[in-house]
Amino acid sequence: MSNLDLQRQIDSEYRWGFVTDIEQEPFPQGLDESVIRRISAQKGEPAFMLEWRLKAYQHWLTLHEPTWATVHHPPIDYQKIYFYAAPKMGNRPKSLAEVDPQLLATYEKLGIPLQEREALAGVAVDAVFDSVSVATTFKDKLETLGIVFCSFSEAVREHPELVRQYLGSVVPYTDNFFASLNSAVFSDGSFVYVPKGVNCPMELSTYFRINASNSGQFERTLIIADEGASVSYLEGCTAPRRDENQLHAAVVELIALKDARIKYSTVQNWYPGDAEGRGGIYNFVTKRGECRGDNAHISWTQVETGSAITWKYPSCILRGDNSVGEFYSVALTNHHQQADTGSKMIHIGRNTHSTIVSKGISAGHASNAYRGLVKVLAGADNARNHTRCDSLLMGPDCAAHTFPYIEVKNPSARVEHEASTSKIGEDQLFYLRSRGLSEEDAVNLIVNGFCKEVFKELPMEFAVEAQKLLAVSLEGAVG
Amino acid sequence: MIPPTAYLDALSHIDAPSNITAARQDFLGKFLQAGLPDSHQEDWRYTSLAHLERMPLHAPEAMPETLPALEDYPGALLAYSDDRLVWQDTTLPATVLSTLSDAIGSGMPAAFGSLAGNGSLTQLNAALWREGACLRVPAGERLRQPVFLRFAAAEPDAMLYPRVFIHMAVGSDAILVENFLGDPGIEYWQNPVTEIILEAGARLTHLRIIEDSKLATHTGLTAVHQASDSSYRALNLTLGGQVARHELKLTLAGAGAEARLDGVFIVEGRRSAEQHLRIVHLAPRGNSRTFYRGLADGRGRGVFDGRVEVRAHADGSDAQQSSRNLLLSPHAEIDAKPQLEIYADDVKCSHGATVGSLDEDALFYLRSRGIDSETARRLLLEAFVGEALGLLDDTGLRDWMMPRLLARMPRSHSEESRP
Repeated sequence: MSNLDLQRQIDSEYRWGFVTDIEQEPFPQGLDESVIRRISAQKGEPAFMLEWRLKAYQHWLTLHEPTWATVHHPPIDYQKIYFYAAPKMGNRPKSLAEVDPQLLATYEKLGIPLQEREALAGVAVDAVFDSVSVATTFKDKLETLGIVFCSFSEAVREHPELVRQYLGSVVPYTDNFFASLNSAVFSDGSFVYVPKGVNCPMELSTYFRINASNSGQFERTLIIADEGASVSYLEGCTAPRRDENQLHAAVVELIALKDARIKYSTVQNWYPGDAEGRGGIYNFVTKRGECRGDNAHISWTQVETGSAITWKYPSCILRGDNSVGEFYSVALTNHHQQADTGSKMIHIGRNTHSTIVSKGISAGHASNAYRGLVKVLAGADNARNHTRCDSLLMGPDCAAHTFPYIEVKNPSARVEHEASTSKIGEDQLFYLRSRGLSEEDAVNLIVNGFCKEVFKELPMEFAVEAQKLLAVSLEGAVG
Repeated sequence: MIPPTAYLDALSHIDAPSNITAARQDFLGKFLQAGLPDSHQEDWRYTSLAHLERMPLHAPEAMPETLPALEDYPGALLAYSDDRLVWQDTTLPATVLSTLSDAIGSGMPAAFGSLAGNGSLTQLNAALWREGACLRVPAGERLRQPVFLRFAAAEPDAMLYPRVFIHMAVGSDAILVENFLGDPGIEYWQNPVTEIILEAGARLTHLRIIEDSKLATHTGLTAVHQASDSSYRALNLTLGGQVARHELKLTLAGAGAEARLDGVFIVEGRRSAEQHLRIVHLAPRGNSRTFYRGLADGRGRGVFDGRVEVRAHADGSDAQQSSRNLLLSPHAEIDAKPQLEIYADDVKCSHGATVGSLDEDALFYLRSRGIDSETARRLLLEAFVGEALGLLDDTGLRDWMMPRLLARMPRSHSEESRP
């Protein structure tokens, strides 16, 4: 590939980098108890939620921002952030006709099927525009099955008993710096409850979109699969272009009770910053699932191509006997992007199995790290883990790291970790080119093969999008 | 915490060459400021030195009078007891092999102290070392016999700081064996530092054997600097010590340098053994191979922490790391942390780590061939450990080492302790 092509690719604009001009009613910058009280009041939350937020805030004040991740960024001034921003809409719209047409136009541009388009039947979208959930589809169909799929604020109002029982039970507000911050100020998010024995008939999906300049987004997602239930949840993101760094500190909690299955898939394509690395999203996320009952199954799949900085370790606590945890990840970093991502698998129950497959691709000046922990406690007889981390390097200025931790206290456990780092083989490229493929096609083919193990875990809709995303992000990275 | 007076007292008892006294005070000041490392530091997260705080640690006082009965060491030997030279058996000239104080007395060896770094325990060693060894192999020379350095401990609650400096000139070749041991049943703290410089094309094979007493604490550092086309091959055997920790910092600074790091650790009882490897590829075409095998029995704990860093422009680097470990008891623990940090793209790096137990199928196979289960188990363990012992053949030291190693193999087990 010629330098010209490379330059063209590097210079290409972020496709989704437009800004919708909608009136916002921002809170003042910064954070103190009054802001938290105001968030809580605005959402009409019960007292226990406010109490929980304030405890989280008090705890957060005692914490320091973690520095162990191999990422670099200027210090974040938490008093310069707008902790809450809601589109001005008065009361919730009863139907799409009441929704601000500008908002709908934004979704239109993104191709989100907010109206119930039969073409994408099977995908119910709970769209989050900045911080307030604006519309939910397919709700009736889910309701007849007893499945609750709604915004977090709605869940707090309508199902406080469920929220109270499960919120913070996997990621307590004391968990880490960003999780504490999220617990104090989280604005909204998604809530899913699948009752006993119910098999959710469609993929549940949420699109997040960060819009207001400087408004940190603090999503909170809580998914509960009751005994014997199963659900597949998709999360996908694009964000408009902005120059200031935007902080995003989400928390996702998954709870799988006995015999339940949860599959959580993410395609993350937030604005990564320009070619010099300015203005991208900071994505500091805490994602954790707990297999609370026997034979439970939690699977994380992620394709990360966006954000200036990604800091994310979807984890599984395998408490129930015979429970299974899986983590499949493709993380691609280009230009000045930095990713520090991986997974934790905590084996507590007997016969628990976990699999980690992590594929990292670094190009340009980017840095990509896998950081993970596999811990087998003394009671986890016959625990099994297999971890595979591969890194692909493209260009002399990028970096790839692997930091796995393996801690085993049970002799019947079998834990295997393998990792490799290399660049795309000249001989592979040469072979494909000698068969008439262009260099770009050859690179795409090799990268797709490299990521295949992960892509095959994605639901159909995402698998197609993910492959395209990767191809777009990588064009011109090898030359 | 250990009162600073213990260290200051130790410093005042050192009859060291006067040209380094000021430096020692400086080092001690830095150590006292930093204190003992604790598990809040990432590199020390698996190590606890809290028990040292409870010991009446002091510099060794008694001068060993009688020579210990020495086993046969097949080569040149410098033997130390409680940081004093007590025996030597060498035909090498003093310009090649001598005590460290003699070497420094006749002029500070170039680069002495330059590799060890500024870890707090290293600074403590720099402040308080009393004796050690200096090996300087001239250019092009090949030592025909291995050089043995034997560091023994005899006094309870002694703080020992052996210090070794090795300089391999261009194209030289040698075999070095460092052996740390102590009287059974006594508590002491051994905190040695060894610096090794390999000039272009030099070759060193280095056996480092920890056979300290079962109550001892060993916190050793080996720092190696390799120029182009040099070769460093090491076998690290951790067979003793209550808390035994060895850190190996290796820098492949010249193009085409090659390192092979093998190791075996065996823990039982409540012992712990830690291997911390820091391998830095600075120059193009460096090659490093790490191959460690660990056995953890009883309530023992084994830690393998290996980090390979390939810096920018170290193109053509090839780094492979393998750590395989067996847990032999329900109360033992293995922690592994194989890490890669890569800042160049034309590299081949991989690592693999496994933790498991003895293969039941293999045991069954051997038993079906008429081998009793104890023998079968022993055969499998020896074979497992044996994969990392290739350097014993290359150095001709297999006959010397194997009986000592086999004596440390985990004892046979009754059925109930198996999963």
